[in-house]
Amino acid sequence: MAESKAIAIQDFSYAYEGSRIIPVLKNIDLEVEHGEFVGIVGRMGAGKTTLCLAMNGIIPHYMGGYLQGTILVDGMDTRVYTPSDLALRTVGMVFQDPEAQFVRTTVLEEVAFGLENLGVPREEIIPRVEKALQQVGLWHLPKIMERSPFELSGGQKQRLSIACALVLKPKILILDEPDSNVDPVGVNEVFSLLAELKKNGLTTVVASHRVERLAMYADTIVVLNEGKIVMRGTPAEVFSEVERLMSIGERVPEVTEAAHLVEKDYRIARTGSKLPVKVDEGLVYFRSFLEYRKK
Amino acid sequence: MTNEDVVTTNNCWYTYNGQNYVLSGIDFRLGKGELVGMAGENGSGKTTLVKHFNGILRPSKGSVTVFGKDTTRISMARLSADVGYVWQNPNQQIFARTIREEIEFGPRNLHRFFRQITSEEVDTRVEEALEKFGFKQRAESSPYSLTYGERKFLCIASIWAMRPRLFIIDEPTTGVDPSTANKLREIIEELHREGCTVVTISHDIHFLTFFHRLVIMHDGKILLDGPTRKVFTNIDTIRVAGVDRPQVAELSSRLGDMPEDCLTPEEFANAFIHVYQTRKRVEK
Amino acid sequence: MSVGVIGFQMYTVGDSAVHRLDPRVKLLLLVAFLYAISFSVWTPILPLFILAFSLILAVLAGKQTFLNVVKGVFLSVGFIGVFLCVLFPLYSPFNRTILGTLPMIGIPYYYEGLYWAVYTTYRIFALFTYGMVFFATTRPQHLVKSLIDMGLPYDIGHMILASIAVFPLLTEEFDRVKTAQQSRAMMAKGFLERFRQAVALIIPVVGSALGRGETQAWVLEARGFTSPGEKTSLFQFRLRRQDMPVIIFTLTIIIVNTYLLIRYGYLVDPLGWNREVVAPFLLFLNANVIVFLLMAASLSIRRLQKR
Repeated sequence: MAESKAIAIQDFSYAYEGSRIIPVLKNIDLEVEHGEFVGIVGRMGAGKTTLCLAMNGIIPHYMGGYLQGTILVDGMDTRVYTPSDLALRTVGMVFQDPEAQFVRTTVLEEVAFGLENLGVPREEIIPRVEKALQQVGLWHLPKIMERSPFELSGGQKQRLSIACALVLKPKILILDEPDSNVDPVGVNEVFSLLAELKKNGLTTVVASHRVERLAMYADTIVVLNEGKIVMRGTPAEVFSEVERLMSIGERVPEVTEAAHLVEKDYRIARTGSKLPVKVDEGLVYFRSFLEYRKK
Repeated sequence: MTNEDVVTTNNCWYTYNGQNYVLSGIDFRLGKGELVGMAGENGSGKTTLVKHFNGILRPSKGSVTVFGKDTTRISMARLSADVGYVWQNPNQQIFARTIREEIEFGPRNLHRFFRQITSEEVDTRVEEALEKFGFKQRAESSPYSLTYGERKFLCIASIWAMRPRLFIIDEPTTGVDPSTANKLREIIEELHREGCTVVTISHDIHFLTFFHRLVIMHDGKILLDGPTRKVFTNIDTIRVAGVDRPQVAELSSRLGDMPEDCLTPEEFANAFIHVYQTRKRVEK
Repeated sequence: MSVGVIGFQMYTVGDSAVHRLDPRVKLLLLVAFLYAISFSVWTPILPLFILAFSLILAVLAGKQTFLNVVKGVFLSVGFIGVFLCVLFPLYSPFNRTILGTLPMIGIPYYYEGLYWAVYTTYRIFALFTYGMVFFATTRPQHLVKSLIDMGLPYDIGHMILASIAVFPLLTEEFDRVKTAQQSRAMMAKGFLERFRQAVALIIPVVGSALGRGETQAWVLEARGFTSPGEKTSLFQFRLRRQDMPVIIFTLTIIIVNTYLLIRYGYLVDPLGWNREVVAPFLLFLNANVIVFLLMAASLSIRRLQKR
């Protein structure tokens, strides 16, 4: 059964090499279906990056450390399969700082890097690079293949890193805070791209603080606190727990917070219904609030 | 230019390479005690403009005056006594072996090179900074034991120890989580209360809503400049400039009957309740 | 950074025949020239020949490349040329035979010193000219890749390529750190002070490089760098017909020089020409060097003034 999930994490705990007694992740249970878009929310140090690294084999193969439990990615056990095994056609990963990910002086070589490493035949390389650049919306830029990755804008750089992962045709894409060092225009670019990719069936896992965007695009939200999953559900389910999230230092979408404050003022006890997490839902909610009270 | 002005720019133009102008004829005034946010997409010129306030850049054309002095006539090091600049990436400033030494660097330079303060004054300031920013217990630890967010605090503390009258902070909330962002906002408000003039560059909408004055730049020009609330009502201009709008602002403008200038969930909630109660009364 | 300081910043974009030569062939020629110039018999003829050849290559490589080459040679070894050509004819350990005296100052100049100055200067200029042509027409990335093709271990090659990519970032970072610390009233007065403050500059740059290093290691893993199978190479470097003449030329140089060395010995004048015949020729060459440098210097000064 676990084999049919995109990602199946069972009772996974992990401590870094050299700090055995301080586990960074504790008893994580998580299942992600194929095609699902999962948003991971949590403070710095909650374990988001560690969890991302565990999902593509860097933990444990590169980082060592002490782990318990299993992680199956598309049916493959990460303890057995190395990051290289998983990189081809299974898991792609994009990290926070795009500049730290660039190792070549032209876009063409940068995107081709993964293909070269994995021994993809030469004739296939350039067409696949072209396709990846088209997917992320960079192909139309003049002389894009010859340009240096470093001279692109923030949003473009981040999309280029995504292209470098996509070129390996992964089923699952994991992004660790792809929106931290990017301006609002760039954030829009990245999230629109992710929405587009989701439409084409890509399983996506994004660690981010941008709760408004996650509410718009994610199917599931997972909240990490001190290495444990403390909440999981749809955006509406999770973000409705406003007080609880704020007590662990997390934000909720502004719409949700506004609705929560109004309800608090009127001491409304909600039974089962959820707070709005998007603007459209907010409109419906507040209008019906006015309507309802008329009666 | 009045005595109360901290910064004045006069027809300021700037180019890095002699061809493209990053700043086009900027006329800008910053008064004493203001709390200003600068926003705009990357490449809009906001960082370039702000770098003129402490002499990192000098105008290619036009002039910039800071605390009454023309920036082309004064060195950056000397201006740093009055203007503090906290960089976006704390790792680009941190280098000392202990937190105490890190905070001491700036004041010690002021003492050594400009004889502005005595050695005792340097020590006093360091102690005060350690106390104020909560580093007292860890004064002798390495700065590298701090998390990224804590390092941002350390940089602010290091600059504060120089007691600048103008505080410039570049992207304080980028790369930190919401609770740290909140703490940073609080400390900045405190600095302002103590009398500093504060200028912040930021993309973070939630952060910018707390500033009194908002300046939005685009393509080397200032598009909007005024009270934050008023600036956010210019929906189209903001969109052109690549700046976000608070979600509640969009919600309130689409809901109708609401004052257009809700910037935070609290404001929205209060305004909504007011509308609701008004309606109830009307119906009775 | 100024031209002539870092090899890989000297690449001039172009598509000449010289640019298109296989990078390994050009490298081999550099090695051959280095050999012929370092271990040579004492006559300026071979260096002159190499210099002329390199200048022709520079011209073939395009106007911009030619200018960059000339500028590069001037900036890197120009002052050595002046030093040698002016000083040695007047004062040198070999000086024995007086040729004449300088018109206004009245100091004698000597044949041996003159011969040595011309010989050594032209050796240096020849080597650096070809070196500049090499760096100006060869993309370092292509050179490294062609070497990987030939058997250079992939991880060493990658290390070099990644360093080339990241190096400009580091210099930018360094500038940023310098500005950051200057805005904390850091001033560099005097040598000792600069030394102390170097810490404040170097540590942040090193720190950020290390931080970037960890992310880069993860990226390498995630892109299959440690995959055990064979790697594909996007570019393939095969020797072509156009490369053959150069390879033959290289071998010729090596053979000729070795023959001369064996026949005559290191630093021995093989031709033993008559002093009267050679001296004017040497004076001419010497004067050329000084004139060239004076012209280049005045051009640079004029350009600086224009700014």
